Amino acid sequence: MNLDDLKQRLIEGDAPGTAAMTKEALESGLPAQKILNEVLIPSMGVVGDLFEKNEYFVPELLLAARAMYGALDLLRPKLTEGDYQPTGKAVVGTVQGDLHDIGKKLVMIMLEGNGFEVVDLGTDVAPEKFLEAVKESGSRLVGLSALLTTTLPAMERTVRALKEVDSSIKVMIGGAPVTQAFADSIGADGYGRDASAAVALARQLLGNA
Amino acid sequence: MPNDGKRKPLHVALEGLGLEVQVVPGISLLDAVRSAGLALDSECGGRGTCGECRVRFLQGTPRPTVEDAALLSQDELDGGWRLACQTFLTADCRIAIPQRVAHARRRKIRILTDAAGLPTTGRPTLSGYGIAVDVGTTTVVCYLMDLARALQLGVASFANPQSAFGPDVISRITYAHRGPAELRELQRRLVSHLDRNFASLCKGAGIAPESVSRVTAVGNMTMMHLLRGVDPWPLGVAPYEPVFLELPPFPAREIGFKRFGGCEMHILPGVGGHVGSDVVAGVMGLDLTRRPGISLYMDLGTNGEVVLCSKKAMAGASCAAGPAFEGVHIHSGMSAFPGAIERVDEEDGRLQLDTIGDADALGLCGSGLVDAVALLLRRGLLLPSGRLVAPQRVPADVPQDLRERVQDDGDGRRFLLSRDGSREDVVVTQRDIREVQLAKAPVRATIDLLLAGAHLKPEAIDDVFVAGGFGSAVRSESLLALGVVPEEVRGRVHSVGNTAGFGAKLALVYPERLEATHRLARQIRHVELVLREDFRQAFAAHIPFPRDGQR
Repeated sequence: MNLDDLKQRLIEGDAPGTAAMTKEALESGLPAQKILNEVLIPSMGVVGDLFEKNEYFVPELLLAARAMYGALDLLRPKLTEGDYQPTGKAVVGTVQGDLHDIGKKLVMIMLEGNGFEVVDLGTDVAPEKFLEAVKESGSRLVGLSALLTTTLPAMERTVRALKEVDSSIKVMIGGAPVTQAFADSIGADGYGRDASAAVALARQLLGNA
Repeated sequence: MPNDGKRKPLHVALEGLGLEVQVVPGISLLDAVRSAGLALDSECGGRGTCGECRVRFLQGTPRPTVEDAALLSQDELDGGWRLACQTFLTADCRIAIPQRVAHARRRKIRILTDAAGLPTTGRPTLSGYGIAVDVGTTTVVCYLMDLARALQLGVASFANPQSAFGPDVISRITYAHRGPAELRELQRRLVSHLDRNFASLCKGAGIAPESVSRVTAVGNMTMMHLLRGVDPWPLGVAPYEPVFLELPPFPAREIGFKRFGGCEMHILPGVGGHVGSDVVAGVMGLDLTRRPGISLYMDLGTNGEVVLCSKKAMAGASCAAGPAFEGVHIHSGMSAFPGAIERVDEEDGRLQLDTIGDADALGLCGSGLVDAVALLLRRGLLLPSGRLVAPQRVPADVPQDLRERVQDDGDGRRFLLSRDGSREDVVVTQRDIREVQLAKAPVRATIDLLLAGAHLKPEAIDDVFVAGGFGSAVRSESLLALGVVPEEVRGRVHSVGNTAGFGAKLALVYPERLEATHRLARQIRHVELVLREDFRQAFAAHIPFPRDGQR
């Protein structure tokens, strides 16, 4: 079967089409792992590029994500532990005092689209919640988001809390008011200016760039 | 920065303005410029991310910083352009401030439509004089009133002096929270301007300052807190609640008034969250509670506030619309000052631009931007998804003049509005359109959810009243084209001007109208939307523009 068609369906955010063709691919005997690595992940890479070029915007990204999650649901039962290695694990959330989630959601989608396992803690997340989630999931990477300048201090508190517990935990931050200089000043390990940059950063921080 | 004990003041010459300021070494150029009393915009509050505060060095050009390099092109860097907020002065220098800003300083602020007289809804019972104040985040307007005759004797307006600390409420909240001194500074700046403007109003009307006995003030929740000197921090962090909704009247001297210290000060009540007394005053001023049918009141700016009024119930909500409607964060954006394109239209196949004050086009304010987007949509130059078409994909029926304006310079697609060799082109970029999408989607989502909460369909709305600076300037046709308001209300959208100031005047002259604002503030149910999943869904659903026939 032609995997390019499946890629195209996913890039266009056609959820029913993506699901149907994923099923077809599985039935034709293609291993789930191959579909994941050679179709889903590269397709989401294309979506990320289109987003970066302003060709795609939030709705297109959300549609592509929906198609991707549908396909992942079909693949997951067929992925045995042995042949499936997530790119990495990450915990993400919007910091305490901030209720905005679109930016964080986009980062989560792009991370998952690149084979990461992501724990999403939602919005208005207290530092302790991040600590708990890191402990439970065993993730070595945390992504913090903030939209309001008023919640930047909460970001700093969260970074400090995480680093106090384990200074080797990598923390990346992002959001409209965040800058590289701010990231440096609060001891975060990196700053991603958009969802695509966040993926590159996540890979780099986990040492599998 | 080297500092050997004795700090010799540095001289900063501002080319073209005939100004020179002396500053201590080490302060940012942004602060230096502000100390000269110039309101140099800084959307990001001086963090080096927005590029609004760029200035050009003519002498004493420092080495570019990382932030300079990130936001400015090599040509700009070579030409001496730097970000004022990231330049910490160590030597004398001579700088040129972009024309847009220099021009804005000499602005005469356009007063929003309002009649000099008040409706004779009652018989004035007070005597003497009073002043009604509308404290906007950007512009402050004061009205001197003869209380016995319900007559306006004069109007004064000025740019909110707090703008030097950030253009929007969130950056003011951040600044005020730094400490008691900063909070006091914001209050003092506003009050001293008010005191001075009150005095010149009295002088102009030929009355003694002592004969002014009463002041009413309206504004958004943050402005009210800053006027009273209360740290507005809780408004800046979830769940975004104010410290106070209502205040008893107090002597104006308590907040630092001098000549007018003896006035009885009424800060009008707010509803909750960011829905402040400007909204309450607007709804009261339009008498929406007594109107038959269902009306929708909206004030659009960086924050959008929407109130749904019916005989049965009233509900109000605010949403962060982002700064696009104010012309901020927009490539060629500027505030609604002379030289701003405020209308964009097409006539006989040619682009028509109207600027404020009929000046040369310097930039684009919110209403011009919205008009431009509406035109692009109408002509198929912009797809409902929000993507500008490529120059080679322009539909065949698009006239030559418009066709030539569709550009793709490799850096991204854009639409050229105005070109004049002596200054930067005025354009609408792809990124600007994304900003508009992010500004309009939450407003429309707010409308949808308030309607849903009242079990109403859009067609049930009898009237939509659009208030505020942007609301007065924007055409209802454009609001419909962008899907800011539902298609079902076509023909029933009214632009009502500065209703907040109008309400403040009514409350000043008629004690029963003042009472009414207090009742109203409690009657309007505040709806908090940002946490709700259905709000997020509606928001995402309204990011695209409406397709023809299904707005």
